Amino acid sequence: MPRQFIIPDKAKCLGCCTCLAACMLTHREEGAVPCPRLFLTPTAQGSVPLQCRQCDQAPCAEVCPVHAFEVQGEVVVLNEKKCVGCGICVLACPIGCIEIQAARQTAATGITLTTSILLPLTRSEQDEKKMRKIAVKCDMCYFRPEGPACVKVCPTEALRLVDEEDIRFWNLQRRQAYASSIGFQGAAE
Amino acid sequence: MTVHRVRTICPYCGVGCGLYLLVEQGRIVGVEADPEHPVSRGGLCLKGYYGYNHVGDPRRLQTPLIRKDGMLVPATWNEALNFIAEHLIRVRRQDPDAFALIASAKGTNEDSFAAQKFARVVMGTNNVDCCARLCHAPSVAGLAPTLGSAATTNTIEEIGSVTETIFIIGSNTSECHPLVAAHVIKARERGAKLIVADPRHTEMAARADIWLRVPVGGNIPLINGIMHILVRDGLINTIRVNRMAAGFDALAANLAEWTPERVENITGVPRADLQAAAHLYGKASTAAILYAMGVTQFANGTDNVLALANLAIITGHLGRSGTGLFPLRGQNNIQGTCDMGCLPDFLPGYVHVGSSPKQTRFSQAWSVKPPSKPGIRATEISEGIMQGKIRVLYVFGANPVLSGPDTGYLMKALERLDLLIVQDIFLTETARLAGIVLPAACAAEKDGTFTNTERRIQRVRMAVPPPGDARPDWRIFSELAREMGSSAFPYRSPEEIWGEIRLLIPERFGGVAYKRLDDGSGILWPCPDEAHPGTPILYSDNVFLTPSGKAQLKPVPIDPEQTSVGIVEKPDKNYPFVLTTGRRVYHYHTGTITRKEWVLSQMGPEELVEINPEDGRRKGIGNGDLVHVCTRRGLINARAWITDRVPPGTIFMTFHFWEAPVNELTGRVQDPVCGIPELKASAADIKSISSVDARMIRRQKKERYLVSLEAPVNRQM
Repeated sequence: MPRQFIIPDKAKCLGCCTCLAACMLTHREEGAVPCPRLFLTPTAQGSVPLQCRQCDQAPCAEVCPVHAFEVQGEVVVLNEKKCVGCGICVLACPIGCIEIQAARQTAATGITLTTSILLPLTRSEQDEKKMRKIAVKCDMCYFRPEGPACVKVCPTEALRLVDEEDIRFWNLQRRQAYASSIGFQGAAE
Repeated sequence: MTVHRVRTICPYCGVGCGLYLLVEQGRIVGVEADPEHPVSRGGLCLKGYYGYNHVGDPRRLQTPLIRKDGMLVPATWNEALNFIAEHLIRVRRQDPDAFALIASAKGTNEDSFAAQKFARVVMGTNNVDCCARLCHAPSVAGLAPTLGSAATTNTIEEIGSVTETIFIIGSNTSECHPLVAAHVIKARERGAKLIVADPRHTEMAARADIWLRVPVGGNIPLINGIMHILVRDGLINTIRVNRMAAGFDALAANLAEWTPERVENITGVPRADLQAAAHLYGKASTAAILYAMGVTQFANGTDNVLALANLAIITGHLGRSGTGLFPLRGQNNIQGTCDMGCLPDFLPGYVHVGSSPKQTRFSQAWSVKPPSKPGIRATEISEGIMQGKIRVLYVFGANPVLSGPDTGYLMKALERLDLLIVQDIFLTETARLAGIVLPAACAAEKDGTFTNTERRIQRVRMAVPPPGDARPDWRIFSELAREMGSSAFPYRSPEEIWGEIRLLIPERFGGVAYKRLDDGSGILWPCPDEAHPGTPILYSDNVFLTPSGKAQLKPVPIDPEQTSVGIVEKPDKNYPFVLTTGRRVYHYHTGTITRKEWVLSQMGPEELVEINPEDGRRKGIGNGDLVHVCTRRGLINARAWITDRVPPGTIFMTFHFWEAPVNELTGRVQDPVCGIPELKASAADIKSISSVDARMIRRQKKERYLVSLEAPVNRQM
């Protein structure tokens, strides 16, 4: 069964990073590591946020030695409590949308990140030892009744929630376009 | 728990997006976008959505602070106002021009009006300026004589819905004005073409149909080259140009020299690209130019703006829907602060301080003749202090110690002052050096109006009370004026101040009543009476606000023999790089507010120097390495970001971080016309350094600036 996932619309994304901020804040409340679960990917045509496609035969889930990936509804969710941070899922992900991130506890702010989204930079080896490293991936904000936070805040509606019905609709459209190209004009229900 | 929704305007950039602050038990708990707002239409950027926690931050200033035995200690308002009044009365008696005021572009129109009125009426000096000196002073100097007004000509919404060709030059629109970029994206979706001229591969450059990688300082050759092609290819309707503008023959003569070949030699922009861009802009039925600091922050910033004005005039892309010039303003109320006369040579409403017949209305209303000698510019203040001319400086909502230029020199100058008064919401790097600090209310804690980059006057509403004893800026100026024996500040509310503004400048603001702003869409000035709907498009029917009613074409540059880009401090053997400065989307200016926001400072935790991979290889610098960056004025360190965003030979830094205060490096060389410093180009060098050296430099900066890491001042004491 096809699952739900989010794709960026190339024509609409302006590269403003609002989605990343929303993701980060949402996962500060829910989740072990308050890092964005979308990854800003630089391209010659501009940066684009990419995230997990919630694969049906999810390679991350297949390779995880501690079975930390669970299917909840239509979403592949990583149980962050189980994750041991081995990183094998990062290697397995065909689209590179899982990353190992680290966080450490500080008294003042709760959790402090040690990476910049622009450029992962570790401060010093000493700091690194204090961190708990785990995998992070998009969980579609399954805990939010109003749906994924990134989709909600995007000022140009460039992030799109795709579900089974969308795919069915697009497929039908494409078939109708193809049909008309070979002489069958006009759409019908 | 009940949550109140307070409709107000975003306090960050000049776009002025609409939002609702969600207030629970006197605290802001969230932000919702305003779906009906004419510009943002239910969208906000990350600063708009998540940049509200500074309002309730425990580090907010809550009482006045007076320096005693070298320490800033809490004081009552009575003590503080007495102290300042005593000092200022003495200065006023001896030499009013020894006082200077830097006004905030983040306050409301009412705050700005009160500030300049305080300087002019109470102190008797025109020494009042604002950060427009560092951003759009060239727009004022360049657009006022050519078109008649420095303001944006059209509304942002038209870019999205009407414009055929959008030409962005010197603006990192996605990061600095995301909701303007959203309209550009909307335009692209309906088939509009986008030309971007920028040395950096910005997000907008990446999305452009044509990207002209003009080198830093190459704007004038580029724009002249575009105009040359338009004239050469017969795309200029000379009859129309001569009807609406004066000076076309002189311009055409100047343009003859600017062949695409010569432009290619100077800028490296391929002539084919230049021609394609020229034709896209020139042939479009509607075309708009968006520009920002990449045009203005040069020693020839005024000439840059003149060149753009020439281009818009000769192509006739003015005065109709979807056309025009958009100088994108960086601060929420920089347009309003200039409108309110926080400029050393203009009274409110751009009435010249010299002999203007309109001046009488000010002398009548204020019962004092405003001083007629133009005041000192913000960028001349450090020099003025060094020469002993300025002895008291009043900084209201600004942080010049980080916003520069050449802050090392400025900090030396500040030490020589008799008194530095700083009025702000946090103990900024500048406030830390003050003799007295006054706690102000922030935008969420007061009523008033902001004017956005389109000239849209919008209502700002109080959502929560100010912390402790903090007060709105207009009230502080009013109380100080009363303390100094002035009866010109009888205001009990911002609306009364606005009433005075409407009476003084009826041709622009006469019809803008507070009650008309309640529907949330604002009114674009000029709006002379209450039946007037406001003016979305300036110069319709091609009638300009110049004395003759015609636009004035002014050929640039003065030196037609120019063979290289127009920057003053060119790279040389010792300083082989061009250092250019700007902003990132996560932070706002000197980071006073945004660096106190958890999510924003996590996304942009530290300064990164953008270095081209070629330069990185040559210099042995890898991604993430610690480097020091130096110019003739100073040395700072940061981490390297090896990226194609910058061209070889150019490095880029922001001024958000005190740890890497880039304005220690920028120079004081200024535009002779308007006094803007050349913040966009300094000759610099970079070198990989060890973490030991980096720590040492960091320690020095910490001693110099440390503020944001300090424990909350008021709790500590």
